[in-house]
Amino acid sequence: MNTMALIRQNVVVGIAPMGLHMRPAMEFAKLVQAARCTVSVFHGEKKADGRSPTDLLMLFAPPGTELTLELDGDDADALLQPLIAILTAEAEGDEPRAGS
Amino acid sequence: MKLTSFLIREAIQPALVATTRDGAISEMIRSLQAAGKLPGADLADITSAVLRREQLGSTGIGRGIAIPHSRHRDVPNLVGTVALAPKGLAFDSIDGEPVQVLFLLISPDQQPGPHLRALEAVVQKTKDDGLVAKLRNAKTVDEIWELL
Repeated sequence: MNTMALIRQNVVVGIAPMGLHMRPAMEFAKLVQAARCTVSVFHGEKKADGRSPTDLLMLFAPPGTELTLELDGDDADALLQPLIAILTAEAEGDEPRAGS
Repeated sequence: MKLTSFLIREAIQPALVATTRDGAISEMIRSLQAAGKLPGADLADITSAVLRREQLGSTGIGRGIAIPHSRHRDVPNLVGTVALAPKGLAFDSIDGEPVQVLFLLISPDQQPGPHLRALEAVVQKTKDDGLVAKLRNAKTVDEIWELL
């Protein structure tokens, strides 16, 4: 059953130490690209298309940044929590450091 | 943050020799070393770190652009370079297209802020399709530097 909804949700970026950097931005964008709803992400007056990793990176969102997600359309309900999970991960074991 | 504040002009390569993603990354790291920007650094380890990062997920952001990167203990300051691959490189990019414009970023291990700013600066600059088209067609270091 399709569910249509307009959802706005504030989220505080985690993903220590770098915040919304390339890997979470790409993961986020891929999820949105596969979804039916549209997703916009706001950082103050800046707006990013959730399908675009470059848009997301241009938000410049280090840890502690408050973003607003706006999801509109089919499957918005189902997509919200996975997107929040990406943005609020406590720590990101992303770029492997030397010697790791 | 201006690209020219961390991109190393002397390391820019208008035409990579490498024909693979891994080869291109190695070549770009060697160009930074040749420009004297990785003094005393363990190049093999830096290369491995960047390649491992690619294994976690492609840095091919689409539209023919990739931003391979990593942090490393041997790098005291953020450094980067640009290289062009006119024939295109397979990069498993988000849009499936080959990559022709590469920005390599190597950041200090304990400074996440500049790293994120640098990523923002690169994507901000390459948001302009016209600029990216000109970059793809650039033939010299001077041309590339002027565009950046």
